[in-house]
Amino acid sequence: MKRSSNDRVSATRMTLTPQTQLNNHNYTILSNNIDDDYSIDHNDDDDSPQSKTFSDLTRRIESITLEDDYKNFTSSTTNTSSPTKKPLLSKVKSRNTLLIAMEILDDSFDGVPYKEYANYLGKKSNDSVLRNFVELLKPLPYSLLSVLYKLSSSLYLIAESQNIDRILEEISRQWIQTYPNTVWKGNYKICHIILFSLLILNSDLHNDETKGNHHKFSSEEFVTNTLSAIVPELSATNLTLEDIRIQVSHELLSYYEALKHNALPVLRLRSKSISSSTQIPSPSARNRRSAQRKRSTSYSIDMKRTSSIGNRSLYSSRSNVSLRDSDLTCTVDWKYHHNMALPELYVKESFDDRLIQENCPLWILDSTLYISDDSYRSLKKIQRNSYKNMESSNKNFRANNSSLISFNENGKDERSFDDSSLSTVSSLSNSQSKSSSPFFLRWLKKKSSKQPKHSRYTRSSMAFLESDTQWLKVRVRVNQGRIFIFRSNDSTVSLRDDIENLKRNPQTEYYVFNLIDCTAELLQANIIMANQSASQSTTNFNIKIPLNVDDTRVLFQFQTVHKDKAQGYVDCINFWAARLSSLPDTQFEIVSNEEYGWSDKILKSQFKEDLNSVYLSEWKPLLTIGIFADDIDEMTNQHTLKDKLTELKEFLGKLELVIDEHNDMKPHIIACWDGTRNFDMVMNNWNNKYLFLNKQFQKQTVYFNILKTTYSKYCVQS
Amino acid sequence: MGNSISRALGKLFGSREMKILMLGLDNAGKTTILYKLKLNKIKTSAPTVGFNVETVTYKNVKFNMWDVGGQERLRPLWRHYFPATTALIFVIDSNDRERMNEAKEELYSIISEKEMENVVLLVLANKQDLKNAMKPQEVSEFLQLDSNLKNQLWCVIGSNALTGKGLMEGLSWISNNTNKK
Repeated sequence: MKRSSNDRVSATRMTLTPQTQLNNHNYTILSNNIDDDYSIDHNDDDDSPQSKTFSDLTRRIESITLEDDYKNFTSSTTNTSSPTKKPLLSKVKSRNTLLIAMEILDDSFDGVPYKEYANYLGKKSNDSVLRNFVELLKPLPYSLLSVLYKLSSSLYLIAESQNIDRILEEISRQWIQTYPNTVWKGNYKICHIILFSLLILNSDLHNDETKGNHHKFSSEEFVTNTLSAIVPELSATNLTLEDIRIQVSHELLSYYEALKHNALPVLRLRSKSISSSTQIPSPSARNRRSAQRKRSTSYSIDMKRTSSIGNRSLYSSRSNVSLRDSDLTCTVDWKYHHNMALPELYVKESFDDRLIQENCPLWILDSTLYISDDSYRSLKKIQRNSYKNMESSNKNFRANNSSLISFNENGKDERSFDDSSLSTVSSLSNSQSKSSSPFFLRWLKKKSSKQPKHSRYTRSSMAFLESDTQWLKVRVRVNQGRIFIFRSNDSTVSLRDDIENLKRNPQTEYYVFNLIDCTAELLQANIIMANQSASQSTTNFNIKIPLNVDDTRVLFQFQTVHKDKAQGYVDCINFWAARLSSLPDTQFEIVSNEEYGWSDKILKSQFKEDLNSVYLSEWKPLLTIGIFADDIDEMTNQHTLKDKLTELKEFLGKLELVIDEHNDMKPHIIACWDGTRNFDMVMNNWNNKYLFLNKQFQKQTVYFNILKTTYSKYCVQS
Repeated sequence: MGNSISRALGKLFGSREMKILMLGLDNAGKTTILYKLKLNKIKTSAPTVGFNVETVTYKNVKFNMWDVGGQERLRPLWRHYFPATTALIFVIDSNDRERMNEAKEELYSIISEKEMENVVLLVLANKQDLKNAMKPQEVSEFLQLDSNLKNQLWCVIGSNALTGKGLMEGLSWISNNTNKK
C-alpha cells in the first residue's frame, strides 16, 4: 500500500479470546486509515481520536466477526487434526476481509482501482468481503430503491452483470434478515429480482448509450415485467400473484416514478483515493481532510459519501487507472495539432535508432513533392470531418480548441488553393487553371448533394492522366509509421523549414495519418502509355488509406519529378504499413452455418431437388480493426520484424491454399447450381470471395517482399 | 463509429438500431470487448449506475449492446426486456477449457428461450492471443452448434479483445446478416 507511514495506525495488537479453547492469541492487524474509517461511527468533539477510533475498531471487528470465527473454528476443529492453527488463520482471514470491506467503503482499498471495487466484491472468491461490506451498509433502508441509492452512493456501481448479480443477492439476503416480516415472507430471491429489475430500469432510463430511437420502458411495462419475473419465486413461497399484485404494483410504480426523476447516483472518487493511487498524499492535505471529517457529524455512511460527489470534476475522476481512460482517444491528426504525444505504433527494436540516425530512406523520408488537388481536398475534408465529430461528441474539448477552430475557418473555402500563390506544376497554363475553378465547384456541389455514396473525393485513381489535375507542392515526411503532409499558403515560407516552425506558422496546413493497412503503388509501373518515353519528367504514386468506416479507401495521389523519389516513398510507406498492420487472418478461421452455395452439405449431397429452398447468404468480407487506423492508440501488430516476417510467410502459404481450393470448387459449384434460380447469386458469392482473396494475396505479398528485403538489408548485422 | 460520411449515408438510407445482448460467463472478456469497440468514441456523458451498456455505430447501424447476464432466476427479467433482440453475442474464454462445459450449458439455456428464436448468434471465441486457446473450429465443434441450432444463423469468430482483433469482423458479420430482417 502506498501510504505514508505517519498516517498509519500501525501494528495494532488485539487480544481475542475465550470462546474457543485456544489460549489467548495475539493478532496483528496492519490497519491503515483507521481514523478515516471510523470517524463515521462516532462523534467529532474528540480530543484523542486515535485511541477512541481504535477501540471502536476493536469492538466493531469483534461484534461482526466473532460469530464467524466461532463457526470457522468449530468446523475446522472437527475436520482437522491440528486445531490450533487453522482457526487462527481463518480468524485472520475474516478480519482481513472486514478490513478490505471497510477500505472499499472508504475508497481507500488499493487492491484494485476504485472503479473495479464492484467487480471485486462480486467475485465468487470474495464473498466474505462482500458479506462484510453489506454489513457495513446497515442499517438497510426499508425501501428497495433506497437500498440501491445507498449502495450506489457507497460504491462505484458499474460492473459486469455477474458481479452486480452477486452483490444484489447478498444485499437481498441481509435485507430479508433485517425485514423478515414483509410481503415476501422471507424469500430473498424475490428482492433480488426486484433489485436487479430496478437496476436494468436505471440503465434504460438514464444511460446515454440507450438514447436515440430506443424505446424506453414505460411504467406499465416495468411493473408487468417485474411481476412476471417474480412469479416462479412466489409459488416457491406459497404466495400467488393475486395476493400481492396490488400492493407490489403500487410499490413498483412509485419506484419507477422516483427513479425516472432521480437516477441512481454514481459515486465519484474522492481526492484522497486518487492521490493514493498515484502519489503519496502530503501530510497537510491529509490533515485538512481529517479535519473536515471530524467536523462532519454525520453518522450515516451514504450521507458522507454523497457530500463528496459534487467535488470531483470529470477530468480528475478520469485520472484513475481504468478502462474508461481510453474514452479520450482521438485521431492522431488531432493529437498532432494539439501537440500531444503520439503513441508508438510498433515494437521498437535495437536497429531502429541506428537506422533513423543514419537517415535510412526506409525509416525516414522527408522531402517535397506534389499532391493532386483532389487528394488535397480529401485531406482537408477528412480532417474537418473528424474534427467536427470530435467537437460535437466532446464539448469539453472545446475550450482547448481555439486553434482548431481558426484552422477550420482557414480551410473553409474549398478552392482557396486555386487562388493561392503557391507554385503548381500543372499540365495546364495558369489561365486555364483559374478558369477551371468553377468546374471544381460544380463537381463538389453535384457530388455532395446528390451522390453521397460516391463522395470518395477522387475522380479517378489516375489523376495524372487527367489534363485538369493540378499538382500542389507539399512536404511529405514518413516517419515511425506515420505520414505527415505539410503545405503552406504563403509562398515565401520554405517548406524545408524546421517542422516545429512550420507548425507554428499560421499559413501552414498539415495532416497526419497512421500508415496501418495502407498500400502505396507506383503508377507508371503498371501503365505504359503510347507516347511515354524514358525522358518523361514525372512519376506518380498513390497511397490508399483505409479511412472510411464502410471500407472505401481514400486515395492520395502524389507526383515526383524523379522516379527514384517516388519509388523511395512507395517502399518506405509499404514497409511501415507492413510493419504496423496485423494479419487479417480472423476472416479465415470463422466457422458459421451461413450458406454461400458451396458447403459440403450442398456440394456433396442429396440436396439436389431442394436447392431453391436453401437460404443463401451474401458473401462479404468482414471489416477489421484496421479501419480505425487513425484512432488506434496502441500497436495492432505486436510482433517483432522477424516474427512478423515468419507470420506473413505462413499466412501467404495458407492464403495460396485457400485460393486453390476456392478455384477447384468452381466447377462443382457450377455443376450443382446450374439452371437453378440462385445460380447468379452463388456465382456472385464465389466471385466476391475470389476477388477478396486475390486482393489480400497481392497486398500481403507486397508487404512480405518489402519486409524481407528491408530486413535482410538493414536489420541483420553481419 | 463516428465518421460523418457514414452518418450521412445513414441519413440517406435510413438507419437501423439493434438491441444486442452480450452474454457469457464472468471473466470471458465482455467488458473489455465493449470498451474496445468504442475505441474512437469520446465519451463525455456521465457514466450510469448499473450494467455496462455501449452503443457502437457502424455504417448506418447502431449497435446497442447490453451486458445483463446473471443467474437463471433473473433471466425472465431481461428476457422480456429484450423481446426485440436482433443478435446475441456470446463471449467465450477460449482458454478456459475447464469452464467450457458451463459456457455451453449457459449458451443453450439462453438460445433455446422462445424470445431468442430469431436472433443471429455470434460466438466470440475470445482470448485467442493465449497459447492454449481453443481455435474457433474447436469451439464450434465443442458447442455442437451445427447439429443443435436449426433456426438461428450462427457464427464463431476468434477474437482478442486486447488488440481488437475479431471484434469489427463480428459486428460486420451481424450487420451483413440482419439486413433483410
